[in-house]
Amino acid sequence: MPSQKLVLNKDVLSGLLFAAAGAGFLVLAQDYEMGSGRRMGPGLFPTILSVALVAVGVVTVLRGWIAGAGPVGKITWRGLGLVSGATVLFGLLLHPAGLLPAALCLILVSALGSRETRSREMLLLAVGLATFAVAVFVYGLGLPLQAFGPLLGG
Amino acid sequence: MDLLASIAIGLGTALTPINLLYCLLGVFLGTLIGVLPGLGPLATIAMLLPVTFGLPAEAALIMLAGIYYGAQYGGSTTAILINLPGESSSIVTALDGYQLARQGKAGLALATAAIGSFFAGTVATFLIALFAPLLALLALKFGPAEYFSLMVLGLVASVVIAHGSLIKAVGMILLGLLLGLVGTDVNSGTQRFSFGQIELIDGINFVVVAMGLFGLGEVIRNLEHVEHREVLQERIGRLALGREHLKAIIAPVLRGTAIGSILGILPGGGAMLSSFTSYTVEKKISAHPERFGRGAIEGVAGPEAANNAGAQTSFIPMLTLGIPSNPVMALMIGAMIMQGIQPGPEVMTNQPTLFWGIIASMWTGNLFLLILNLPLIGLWIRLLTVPYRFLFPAIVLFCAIGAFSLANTTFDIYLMALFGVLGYLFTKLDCEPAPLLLGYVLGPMMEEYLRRALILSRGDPVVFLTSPISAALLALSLLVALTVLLPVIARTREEAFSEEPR
Repeated sequence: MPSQKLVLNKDVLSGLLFAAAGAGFLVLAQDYEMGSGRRMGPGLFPTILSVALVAVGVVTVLRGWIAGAGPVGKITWRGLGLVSGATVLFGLLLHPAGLLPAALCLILVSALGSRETRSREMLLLAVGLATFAVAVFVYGLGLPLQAFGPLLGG
Repeated sequence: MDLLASIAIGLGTALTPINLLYCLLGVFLGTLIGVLPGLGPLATIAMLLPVTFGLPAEAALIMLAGIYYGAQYGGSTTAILINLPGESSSIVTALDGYQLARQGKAGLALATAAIGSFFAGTVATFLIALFAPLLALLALKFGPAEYFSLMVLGLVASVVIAHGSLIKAVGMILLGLLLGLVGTDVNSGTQRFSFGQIELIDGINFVVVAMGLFGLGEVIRNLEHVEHREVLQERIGRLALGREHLKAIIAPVLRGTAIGSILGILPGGGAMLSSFTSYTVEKKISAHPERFGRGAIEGVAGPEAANNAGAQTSFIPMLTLGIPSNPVMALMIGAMIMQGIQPGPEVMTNQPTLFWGIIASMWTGNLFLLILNLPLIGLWIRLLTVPYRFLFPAIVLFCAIGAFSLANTTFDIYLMALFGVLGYLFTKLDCEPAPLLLGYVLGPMMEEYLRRALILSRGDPVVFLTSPISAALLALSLLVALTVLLPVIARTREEAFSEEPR
């Protein structure tokens, strides 16, 4: 039996997410002209959709309360934080430091997201992949990137 | 006569050395990445999309189609060898394929899958060549109202095949539709939901959405579990079929091809539904249903033929109507738009070489698949054993560089990271991200057709019901929506999805 006492179960949380997103879009859409049926303005379609999304959200919440649903389950904060963090770090480093250091950082930081990572292996992998990426994307495909950025004298 | 001339045009395009090369490259890369654990066709295509943008439109789409069948086949290989379906449509292949592998008959299962897929792919390609032009002609009669209703039907149908709760799938579609509207409104020039960011003026790049949801999101999800993979200890066995095997698989392959070809065309159909249906049918009509799940060769042959046929014929609505029937087709449409091609029935008349070239390339792609996979099986098996801890940092890196390369801006990298986080949280909440992508691709088109239909009818919404085609499509949508709510069907649907792992 699904645990019925759980207040914030999967369905309730999904519903809240939908309702919040719908409300956000709805508020923003009010700045755009509605127009009329004959000449739809840029605000009309988003308004219809976001009202529907809020409604779906409310129904999902109610269903979650009445029928119950499973708990969200364990979230791997470590994987979530390190993988998304490594990606953002890559973006931050890409221009100032260059592709090579940015790629090294991305691989080493994201690799920490797995509990099975071994340090020596990852160092080798990072150097190998970063060099490969520079060879392919900077020299091969000619993306507007430098191996070493201005921060590192590039 | 016309058909022959068209096929000649198509072969003329598909058989140029450069397109053959891209087809081969696509099939090879698709299989290569599809075989790697934890990467299905969606993630594979999303990751390789940026690579194709530099190519001419024909080569790019031929390569993407090749990646799709390659990834599909790679998924079957992992299903058979390590009981790890790379994607949902090969779940049923794992049921009997893995059992065969444990009995030392992996070679038999792999050969059956390859030959069944090739046969089904060939038949489905001919069906596309035959029926796509008819459908495209019909579609030329479509006005904005009809298109709008057709998209409604497509979205409703995609809700039906989404796993889990229907209402959540509807929510994801609406969210996708709204995200698709971000950027400049084509009619008024108003910038919507862009928060003043220059990077958002042209909207969110759909590759960013796809790579985030399906690439990064998957990576994070896979990090939840400590990896444990059963490496096949038994010998692969001979990669060939004896006469008695051929006899055993011929009927299942034929039935699977028929089932897949039909279900693939339906909006919301495609490979997964086809393979499930085929497995059920084979089990029902078998004289020894108890053999299923214990290594029945029919349980591999039927579903493999069906999923390949379904994968092929799902191109029909995409090529003729510009309507994606599944998320992979949504990616193809996105790729077309990025190549400057407006998907729809005009593609066939305005760009016959592209249209027929893609169709003809499906056959060469399937041929490559057959030629490539049987001899390269040793390489694929070695790839299967690459530990995930080596793979995932590489996936993250290629996604990040891919996101940057779309518009040479780091903004897209951050946005992709955000969609990665969202993709993971969605799966934790049991909200499937695939319907979101469909909605995302269809959002701007739906708004445009709605607007035009209302201009033509002078603001009278009854136009959607007075046009017979539109009314029929809407009635069908309603019917589909209602049938799902019927208790009997709801229960069968739950059973069909409960066979999935996790």
